[in-house]
Amino acid sequence: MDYLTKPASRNDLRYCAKFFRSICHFTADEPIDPVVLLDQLRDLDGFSDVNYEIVEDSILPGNVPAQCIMSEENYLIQIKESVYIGAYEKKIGGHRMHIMHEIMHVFADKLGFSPILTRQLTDETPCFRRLEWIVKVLAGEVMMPYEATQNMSVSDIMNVYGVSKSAAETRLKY
Amino acid sequence: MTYTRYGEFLRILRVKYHEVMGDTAKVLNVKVPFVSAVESGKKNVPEEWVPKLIEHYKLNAQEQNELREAIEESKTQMKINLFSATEPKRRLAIQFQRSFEDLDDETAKAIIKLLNKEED
Repeated sequence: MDYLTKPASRNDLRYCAKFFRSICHFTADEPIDPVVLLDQLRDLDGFSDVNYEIVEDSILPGNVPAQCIMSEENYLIQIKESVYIGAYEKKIGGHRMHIMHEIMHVFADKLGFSPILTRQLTDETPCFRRLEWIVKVLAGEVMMPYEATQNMSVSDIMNVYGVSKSAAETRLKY
Repeated sequence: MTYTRYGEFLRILRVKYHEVMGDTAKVLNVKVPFVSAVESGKKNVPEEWVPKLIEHYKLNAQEQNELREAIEESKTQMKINLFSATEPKRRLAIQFQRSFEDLDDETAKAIIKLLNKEED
């Protein structure tokens, strides 16, 4: 489910991604393992209200690899077992990105990219007003830092940052 | 949902030892969703996990106590063995089970005080 939110350009989100890396005490170009980050989140400034759980695949709908449930008290990231195992054991880029995507839902919410529930999305709604687009861009920018990847090939980006081919290709497109 | 004290204890250990929940599942020889359900308080900590965790993380005496306290505090279900209980004790256990959900904090404190009377 997608929602309308406040606008942000890719450039704005690039800065936000750098900010997130600094909160996590990562350097500007080091690879991030989202599986490791899950346990570290609660120790980061402003993220002590983030919980996660790994659930059996049957708990979430078939087309939902993971989700972030927000309440007034805290955030709960739920991840399907197959997605977690794919990211943890097999280092599957797409699965690692699913996990980072949900972490970015938390970060985006904390940055004020909250769903505007009073207005509906339409076909004319530009991507920069769509919460899912904003979170997707944030996840990509955090996983594959812009400056560090500018002159890299698709396969180098895949190998260094542990992302899928399509994610690496998207990275070089923008 | 929030982590139980046990879940938080394990999370801190994992960060300290550069491990993730998948590693904990391997140490305990169970599936990751089960580890997760225990840490979030949906299931009790199986007793046989304690020695495995102590050995794997090489917990000292103080840490072992902390682990046991965390497990005790994180319990979501408790069993009472009624096998050799007398009739009054059996009735008390059944009545307690029936009334537990409706029990207010004041009454709970009064019962604890009553049960601890001899120790005082």
